[in-house]
Amino acid sequence: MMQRVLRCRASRRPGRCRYWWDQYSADNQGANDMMRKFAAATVVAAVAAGTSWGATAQETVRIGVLGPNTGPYAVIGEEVKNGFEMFFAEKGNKAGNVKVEVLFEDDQAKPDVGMTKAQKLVERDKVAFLGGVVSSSVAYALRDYAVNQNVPLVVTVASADGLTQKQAAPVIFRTNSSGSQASHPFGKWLADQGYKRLVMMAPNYAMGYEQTGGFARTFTAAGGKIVKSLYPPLGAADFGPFLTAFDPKQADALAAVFAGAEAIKYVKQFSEYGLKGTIPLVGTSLLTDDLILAQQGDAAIGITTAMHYSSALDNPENKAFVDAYQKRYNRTPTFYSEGSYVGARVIHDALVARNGDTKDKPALLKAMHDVDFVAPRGRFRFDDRNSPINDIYVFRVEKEGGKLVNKPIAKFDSISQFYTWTPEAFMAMPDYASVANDWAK
Amino acid sequence: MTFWSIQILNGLSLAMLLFLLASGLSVIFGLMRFINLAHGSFYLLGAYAGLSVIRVTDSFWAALVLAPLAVAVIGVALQRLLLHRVQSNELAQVLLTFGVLLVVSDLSLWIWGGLPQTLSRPAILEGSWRWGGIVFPIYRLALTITGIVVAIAIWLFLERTRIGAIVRAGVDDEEMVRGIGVNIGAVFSAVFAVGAGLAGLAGVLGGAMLGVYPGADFEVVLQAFAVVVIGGLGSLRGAFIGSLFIGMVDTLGKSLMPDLALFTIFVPMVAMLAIRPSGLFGRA
Amino acid sequence: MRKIHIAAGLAALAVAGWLLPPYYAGLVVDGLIFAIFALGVNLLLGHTGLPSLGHAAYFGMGAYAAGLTAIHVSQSFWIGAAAGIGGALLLGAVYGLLALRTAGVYFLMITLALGQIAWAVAFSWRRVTGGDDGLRGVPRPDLGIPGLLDDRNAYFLFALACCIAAGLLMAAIIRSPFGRSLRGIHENPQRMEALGYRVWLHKYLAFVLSAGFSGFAGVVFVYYKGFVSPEAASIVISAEAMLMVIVGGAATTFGPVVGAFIIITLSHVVSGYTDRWPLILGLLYIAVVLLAPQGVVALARRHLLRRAVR
Repeated sequence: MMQRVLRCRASRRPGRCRYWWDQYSADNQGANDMMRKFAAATVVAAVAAGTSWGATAQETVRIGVLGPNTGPYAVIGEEVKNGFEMFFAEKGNKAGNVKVEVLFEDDQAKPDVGMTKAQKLVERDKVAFLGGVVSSSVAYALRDYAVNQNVPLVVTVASADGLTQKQAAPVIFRTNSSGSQASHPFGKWLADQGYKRLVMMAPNYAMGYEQTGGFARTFTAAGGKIVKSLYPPLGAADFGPFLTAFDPKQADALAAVFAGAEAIKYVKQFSEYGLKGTIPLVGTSLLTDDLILAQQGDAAIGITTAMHYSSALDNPENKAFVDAYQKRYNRTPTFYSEGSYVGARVIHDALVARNGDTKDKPALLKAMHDVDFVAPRGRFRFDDRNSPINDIYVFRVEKEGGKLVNKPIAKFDSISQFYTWTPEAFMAMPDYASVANDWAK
Repeated sequence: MTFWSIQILNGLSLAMLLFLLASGLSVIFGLMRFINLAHGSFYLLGAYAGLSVIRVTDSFWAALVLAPLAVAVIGVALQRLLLHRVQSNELAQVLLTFGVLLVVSDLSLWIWGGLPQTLSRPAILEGSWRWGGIVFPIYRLALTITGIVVAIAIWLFLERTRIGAIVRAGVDDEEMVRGIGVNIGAVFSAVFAVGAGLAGLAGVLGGAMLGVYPGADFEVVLQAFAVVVIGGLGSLRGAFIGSLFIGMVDTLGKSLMPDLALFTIFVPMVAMLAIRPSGLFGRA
Repeated sequence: MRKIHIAAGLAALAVAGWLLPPYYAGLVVDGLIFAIFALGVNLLLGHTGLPSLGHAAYFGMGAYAAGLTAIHVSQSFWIGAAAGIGGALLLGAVYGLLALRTAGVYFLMITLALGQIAWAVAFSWRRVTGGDDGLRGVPRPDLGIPGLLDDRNAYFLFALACCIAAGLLMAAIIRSPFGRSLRGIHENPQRMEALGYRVWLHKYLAFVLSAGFSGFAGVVFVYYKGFVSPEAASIVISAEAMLMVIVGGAATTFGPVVGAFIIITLSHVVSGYTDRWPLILGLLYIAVVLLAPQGVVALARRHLLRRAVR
């Protein structure tokens, strides 16, 4: 039974009321009723939600792309998104006769968020493929999930070696070079160019260890010597202490790999501390990727790096790719977007080969494994563990028409993640993270 | 010898940047008993505002003046609208300012994008200074000198002006200051504005040296807190000594023991708090 | 609330958990894990009045200890949980000795620094923790029957049981004389001291117990996800836990549970719709602190009371 009553609420003027009409229920029943109704409603809703989520008929194939859309790596996440989006836009969002829908989720570069989003994509949104992934720790966490759910995972940025080595699986694919892939031939090239002593620097986590470990291994095998190795903590604001912790006269080159904001700081500080012109700086192209090159300015000129891609590669596929990307997103693509573009193509070509059938998993995985096409980087195909066999280029940063580019000056054909070793021999060696401090002994 | 000279110079320049950032934090806490986790946001906003000013006017000097001013205004607005409501509740201050940190961080990502950027410096500040065997960036020298000049300016202000005396009195005994009829609310806001402005200045100066990117706010806020813990909350001298300490320990620690680099700030912080929570010169 | 209502609610939850599709069951498990964590934080924050910004350290310790045990020693839940909770209790015991030398804002700062040290250890000690790659491949506990908990809905019931156990234990602690002394200390430590209570000891025990609960949450977490990374010990997690306690109601018994579910649901729902979710989360922090500092449970209670009493 509802009644209205005039109530008094304290007001600023002492002794006065702010009156208002309040409605209340004249007995206890109301509260208990409310509780019971609420409880019943919850149960009904839960049951309804559970049963109504049956499989909806699927003519569209969905792809779930994960990447960090927030936080310090947001700009790489954007590259991943762009790569997938542009590819499928070019194909009219179709793969042959089948419609394709790409869903993007933010993994915040955190493994448990990535897991939850992957679960959402696979279980709720019923995606047939997972793709993207920037952070290696997210990639490792998702690897087990993808294997358990038998959903193909196409990693387009995360470079952790292990994903296609000790943790390889038929559902795991990689379109970016593995962490040490570009470094192996580069180390030997440095030795061939006459460098005898190197100082190495990289951030103190897996990416750093793998990228530099690769050239340490081949450089020392070719007779070179690593004089010193330094691993600044990830997120170091200031490389001053590290850049000045060695004597430039002790070495023929400084081999360093940093990425993103760190790479910008590093290259600039390298110049400010007078090292530019005193000692050459070499590394992998994470150090001078197309996104950050403009920020680094003239300090970057002359840096020699190795990777499977730069926007300055001179072939028809790449020209078309760079033009289209420039037109669509108003900036130059990087190997992050190229990797995602290629990843999208792997999925697309497999779907076309299978006529849109995603139910026959072994056949689908085989179709994905067997892709062989010309990508902006050149010929693209997988090795036995679904890691790409790429041409690796040596690039030098030069100014061309007022703009800084990574210009190719040398090329190594068809390099796989294992370089000249057999897979067994390579994986029998200790992983790069555990030997990081041993090179300079 | 060269190694040590360069490390000391590095440490000094980092220390001065930290001082600009942390001095505001320290005085704000000393006077208002207010913990501001959003101090890092002031740094970030200062850097980004400086970036925008440079884009429009192409002048670093303009950025140096306008960006801190803008941040000071935002700081006061924030203080009057939001922060003064949680004046007496420490926990609420922490949560509220953490919320502000998140909001500003995301808004900055939205407005300026996620690409790491650097503020371009005027030509006279570029390049290196060579002396003996040492090569040292001119910009960092300029930063060091600026920090010392600002420190002296603040000290003179606090010691030699009437308003400075009021601020010092307020740090010592707020109720008494109210009792003698000073409008403490206005003093709070003014101090907050200056603190925020200093952080904004640190943002412009730091942005030209270290760059500005998403996440810079979280990185510096931890360092700033380490400084005020070591130096003592509420003390300018403490902020200066604390900055020197953290700047040196961090720089030397990173170059001599890179494996332990992540610990160089937090271990001294814990040690100081466990032994002498009020810091070297703080007023508990 | 009547006991019968609570029991009915829990039964409904159990049934729902069994029927919900695995993705949603997973979200509720997340909520249950953080509910246990928030209960632990509440003991220290809400009842004793000590705000800690580094509680994720114990959560992380529990997760890593249990995870390492599950991988290298035994898949038994009891052994893994003992390792996890034990590790967290030990860490809490050591950290508590340092942290309780301070009070107020200094306590906040030292717990922040201690939490960061724990994070740094997790990040740097690659050989043991896997560094930033994280610890992966943690198998589900077998509870005697291999594969029993592999199914996510089965794990849901297990997590529910853990949460209920933690809740009952916490309720018992709060209602006990020890719990009441804590609230007395929160209100007026000097008076309690004068009355002869050993204030420091009470605070220390509360600190260690709260670490233990957080560690237990970490155990349930690592068994569920199958991995843990240094993120689990980060300051963002600590702050989220505090927010859950505040949103739910700091001085209540079950407020933290409600708060945990609210925050988990919101963050998943919101991040699914927009990239601007940190903005929304930040605004939520601000709104809660300004508008509902007593938390949802207290608000609801007052509202229901007003309706019922006349």
